Amino acid sequence: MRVPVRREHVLFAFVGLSVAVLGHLLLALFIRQGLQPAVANVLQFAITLQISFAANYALTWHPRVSGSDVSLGTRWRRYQLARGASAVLNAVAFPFLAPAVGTATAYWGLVVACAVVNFCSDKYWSFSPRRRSTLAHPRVLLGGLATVLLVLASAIFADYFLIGVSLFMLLVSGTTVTFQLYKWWWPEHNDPHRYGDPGEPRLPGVILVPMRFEEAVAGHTLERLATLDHPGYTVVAIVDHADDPGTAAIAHAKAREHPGRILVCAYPEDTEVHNKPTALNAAMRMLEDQGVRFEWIGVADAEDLFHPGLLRMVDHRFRASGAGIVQCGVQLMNFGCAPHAVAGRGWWHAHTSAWWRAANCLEYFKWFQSRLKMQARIGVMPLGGNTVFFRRQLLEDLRERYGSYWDEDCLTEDCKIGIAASVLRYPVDVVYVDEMVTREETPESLRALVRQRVRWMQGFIQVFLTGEWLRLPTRTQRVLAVYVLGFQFFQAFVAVLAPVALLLALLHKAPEAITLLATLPLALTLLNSLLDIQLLAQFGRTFGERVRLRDYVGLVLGAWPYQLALSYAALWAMIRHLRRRTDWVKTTHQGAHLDTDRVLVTR
Amino acid sequence: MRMLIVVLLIVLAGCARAPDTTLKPWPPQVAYAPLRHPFKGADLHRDTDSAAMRYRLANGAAWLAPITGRPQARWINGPADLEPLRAVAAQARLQRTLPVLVAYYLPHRGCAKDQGARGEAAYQRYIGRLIRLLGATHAAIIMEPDAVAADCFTRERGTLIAASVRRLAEAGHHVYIDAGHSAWRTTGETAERLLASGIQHAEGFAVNVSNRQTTDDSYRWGRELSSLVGGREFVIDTSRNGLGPPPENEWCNPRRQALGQEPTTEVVAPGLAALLWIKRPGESDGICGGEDTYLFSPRQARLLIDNAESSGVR
Amino acid sequence: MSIMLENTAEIRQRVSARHRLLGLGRAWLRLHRRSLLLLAPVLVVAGTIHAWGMATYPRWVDDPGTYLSQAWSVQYLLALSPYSYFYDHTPAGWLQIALWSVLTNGFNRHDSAIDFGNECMLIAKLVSCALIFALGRRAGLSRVGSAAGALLLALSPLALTYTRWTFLDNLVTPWLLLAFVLAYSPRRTIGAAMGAAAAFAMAALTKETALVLLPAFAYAMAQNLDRRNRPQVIVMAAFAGILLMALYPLFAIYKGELLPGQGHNSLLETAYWQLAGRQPSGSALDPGSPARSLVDSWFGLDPYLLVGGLVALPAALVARRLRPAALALVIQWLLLVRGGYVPYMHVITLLPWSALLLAGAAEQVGGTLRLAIERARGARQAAAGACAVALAVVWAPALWPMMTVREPPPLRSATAWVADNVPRDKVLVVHDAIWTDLVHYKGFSPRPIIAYKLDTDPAVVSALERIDYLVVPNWYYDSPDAARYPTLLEARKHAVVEIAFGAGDNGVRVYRVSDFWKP
Repeated sequence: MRVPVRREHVLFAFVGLSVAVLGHLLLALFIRQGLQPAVANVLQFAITLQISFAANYALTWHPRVSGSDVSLGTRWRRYQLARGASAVLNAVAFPFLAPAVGTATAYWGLVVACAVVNFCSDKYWSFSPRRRSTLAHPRVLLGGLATVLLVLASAIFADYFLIGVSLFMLLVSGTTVTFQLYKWWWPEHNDPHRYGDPGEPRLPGVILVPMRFEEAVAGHTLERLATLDHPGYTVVAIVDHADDPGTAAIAHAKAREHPGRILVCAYPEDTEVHNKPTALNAAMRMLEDQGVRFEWIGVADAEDLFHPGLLRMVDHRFRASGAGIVQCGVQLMNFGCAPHAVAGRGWWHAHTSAWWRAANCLEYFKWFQSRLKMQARIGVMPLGGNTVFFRRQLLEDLRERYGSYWDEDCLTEDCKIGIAASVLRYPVDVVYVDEMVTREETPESLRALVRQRVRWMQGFIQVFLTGEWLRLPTRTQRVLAVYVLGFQFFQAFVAVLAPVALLLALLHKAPEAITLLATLPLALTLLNSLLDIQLLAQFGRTFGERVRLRDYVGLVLGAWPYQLALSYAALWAMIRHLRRRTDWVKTTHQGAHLDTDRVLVTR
Repeated sequence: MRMLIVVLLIVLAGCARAPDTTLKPWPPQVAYAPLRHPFKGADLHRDTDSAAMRYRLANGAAWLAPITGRPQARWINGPADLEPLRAVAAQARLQRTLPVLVAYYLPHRGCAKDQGARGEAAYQRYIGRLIRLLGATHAAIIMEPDAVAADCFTRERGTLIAASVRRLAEAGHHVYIDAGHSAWRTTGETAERLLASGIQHAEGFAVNVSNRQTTDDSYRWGRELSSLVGGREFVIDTSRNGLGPPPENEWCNPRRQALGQEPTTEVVAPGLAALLWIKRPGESDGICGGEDTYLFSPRQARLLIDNAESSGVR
Repeated sequence: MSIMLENTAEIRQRVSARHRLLGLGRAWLRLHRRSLLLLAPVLVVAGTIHAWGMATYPRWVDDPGTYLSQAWSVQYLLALSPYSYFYDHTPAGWLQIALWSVLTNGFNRHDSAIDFGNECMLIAKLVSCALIFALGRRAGLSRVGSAAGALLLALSPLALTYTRWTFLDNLVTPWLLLAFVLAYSPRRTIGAAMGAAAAFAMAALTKETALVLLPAFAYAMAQNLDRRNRPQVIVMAAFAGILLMALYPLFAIYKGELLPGQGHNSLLETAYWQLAGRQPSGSALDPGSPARSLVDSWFGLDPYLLVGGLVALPAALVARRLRPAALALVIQWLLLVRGGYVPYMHVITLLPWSALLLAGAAEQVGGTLRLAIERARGARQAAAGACAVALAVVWAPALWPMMTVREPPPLRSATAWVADNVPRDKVLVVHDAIWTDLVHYKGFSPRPIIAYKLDTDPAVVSALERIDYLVVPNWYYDSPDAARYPTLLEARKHAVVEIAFGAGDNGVRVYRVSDFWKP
């Protein structure tokens, strides 16, 4: 039932142009008949609106409406409303906009904007095949209207807009850089001996590994996890017997190979939902039933190969820091243009994807080395999803307070649990030892990356709205919580606004002081690129990877598009949230179970 | 943004104090005597006892009429010239005319060692006799041509002039200190010298005495100067400036010279008291330009009259 | 075995940010108690000597008035200068003065802008003294030695004379010292390094000549780098410094005034004029050059501090951390012998380094003595202290008259007369120092014209219709520089003295220009 995209566009443009010409002819006719211009305009609009409705119904959107259960009357009402609103907005905006940006610019800008708005309102609302269209949610429309008004206002009050946007961008970029440099802010933060000598491990613990459709890696992972350098720990593989017998079989085989070291826990059969918190909670219940002795609980993903010495370090940090959570480093590794970075997908793919993979790898590099430490120090801690270790007492306190260990309804339970730990005043220790980081790979495509981010961002919105962060003890923490949870959106906002502000500053003759202010965020962008280059070089040195000149070039040129991709993700996260859509299937490994929404997101 | 700043400034201005603009005049440094405007409505005294008249009478030179027919100043170049004043004064009193005299006897007159009075005391005696001889007749006295503008002007000279001005003024005479001419010194410097020479007691100053700057230039210069010395009025010597300044300002009996506007007290230009013939046309400027004396020269008179007629200056 | 540590509760206990700050403050005070106890009296002495009599000594010169008029126009006209800004100096100096005035209502708290400028200089002096102390400590001097350095700057008659004037260089000094103090931050954080670079950039934005000390500053920075965060520190510090400094050319670019062109000012054109176009002062080594007579005039006020600084150079080189300061001093002296243009307040750039090095050298000598004489504890401190005290005794007779001048500056008296006698709508041509007073306190409107602008600012020249009064010091007419003011000189030819204040070069005559003269 999908219509080739190009035909829709062409037909829409054709109808629009024809109706516009017709409208002008009608207008000329009416005025010659002696009608008042205002009356003539309204009459002309009313007539062309009906014609264009008929034409669009019969031509442009015909394939979408045929067979739909939405009545013609509903469609007509929606169409009149949407088109009428855009026309009124147009008429109101023009007299304000024209003196600010010039008559021609205002006219053609509004024509293009209206065309885009009309196209969207047609496609997703008036002629949507579904009764409730994708965008036709009142909250989404309200948000869209607010955005449009904001854009208009900013064009008219350019000076104020520039000041506000510049200050905001400065704040975001400045804090980003500051957080990113936390590790190097004091020389002591980067001391090679800052974590101390691990010594003999003394605390027993468990590692939980949820596995689902991981036949390719399950055996390898369990083998590695079973042979870490620590005297007393248990690995619990959580598998779904009914759903995924293959992985379950591998897990049981490994459990037989390492009796007492590996346990297998069954994923609850009484639910249709498959997600990580459910698995982890099930494992906790099993451990309790079996009376396993442990002081800490680690979480690993199915493809995570822990460093053999990692548990010793975790054991040591639990004792040395008294922390409730030890978050160890996770690092995406495949950054460059080298073909081995994308596991045999070829030279072309490696080169065309290098720009975003480098940025993604560096993001992790910054997060786990610096940003998380800074957040841990202040006590607002969205955690990473794996290689994270909890003190048992913390989890028990969580259950006491919230009724469960991990929140099974939250899209980013790791973030939520981090905030909850801070509320319970457990300090978090972040450990980044170069050789001990858990190495991971970037999502297989930019599309998958965006998808992952949409989920994260939506999860962050959830965490924000549940308001648990309001119980953080100090004001600093609460402010930082807002910052941390909203950061991805701020950044998205900045990425979109930066070029707009720059253009405005250059074209619009603002006072020099304002133009200078508008330049500062640009300078910080430059600084970010410098730091990225430096960091990439350091990354290469640390992990023994060669960094090529084109990797640097890709990184610098890709920085802004990467941010744009994230902005896109942020937009969709917002829209999905406004529409209350939370039906995520989390792991991309489970491609077979994608719901229809995925098509929407990645289109 | 600008609005914001403006609002901020208004708030700030609220606590800023308003500038103090009231004037609290200090006592003036120079106190000027009130002006008496002696030339206003006055008839200039016609002096029949002049070299030109004598020459005309002696030689029947009626062509000299343009010179002899007009009132001119009488130069008192030393004690020898004082005695005839008695008659002039009496005649002026009788005719109710205003005689214009030129005091020209300052020590080192013309910056020459042996010119003028021998010492200040001699000069004071000269002034004293001048006052005595004039008696009740009030005259306009042009004070010491070139003395103020000369290079050899000193503070002492200024003091001497000032003392004399004061005596003359107290005796009821109207003193106009010679200020030089528009092509000589700047008004600023001249004002300074005039103030040092007692301009505050004088009626005003004289411009262009014995020189040939145009009346317009002289007026402009005099007006500018007048503003610097308390608005004192001034007279312009138009005796020989009909053609304006000769090339390179040649001052001594130049070929290019003509009689200027005839003397009058009916002037309308503000600040200007009268147009006078202070230098007597036809009298030689010195030993130059074919002349051997400072005395009346018919050749010079002829030149002045002819040039005036041919150029249409009357 | 429980893994709960006893102090977990304590760790969990988070104190609020305000309490933490208070705690930090208290800890800082405790840590620096002895330094503060020593520094406080030094600052009191420095402040007293500086403030006592600063309204009447030294004489009023051009530059303070210029900067104050520009600060005034920043606050009240929202412009960098009452005239078109022509990039003569970087603007941060008077922006700071304006900021202080905006914050404290500065111009309205005084009767004269010059007094307000004096207040700013007093603050700058106190900050400089405190920073010399701090820099001394961070460069390894004892407390007494550092205090001696601050005292030398406070007590030298030469320093007193030049630091009382509202010169940009006096605002540069605190920024430069701050840059060095932060460069020597014992914590060696990125923040400190950025702060140091930003402070140096502020120095350069306050007066561009501070840039010549870049090598010395970079040397100090390099001495304090830590291997563990070196690359980040270098990138961030360089970025902070360059960004701040780049605002200046960017400003010019946005105004379209970077490159020379018809009908507008240009940063590069002025820079070229400053570097190459000005009359060179010759080398200080050449007797008879203007630079030499300048140096002689400084020595006339006080030879000890300058010579002491030079003598101290080799001794200070023994101490590693005094080397950048020594380099700074050497650079500034080299500018004097180089033979280019030297502004007459150049000595200000020599003073803090001389004071610091002299104190440092005294300590070195004391240290050597201590090696020679057994058990001479505190010899270093004693040597530095003795040096300061000895010089204070030598300087006292020269300081006294500087603090007790009673006659008001002639320009100030002239301002009073003008305010009392001249209607506000007259066109005045005035000296820089009284411009702000006449505009702000006396309400002259149209605003008077600064004499220097009469012939240099095309906008002034084209708008000039009348001149009614001239109020500038006599040196404008009598110095060889007078040729720079042709219109002023011409106006004076048509003017008469109304009243005169003072005599000689510094005297002021109020000229009234003839009503019937047009420029």
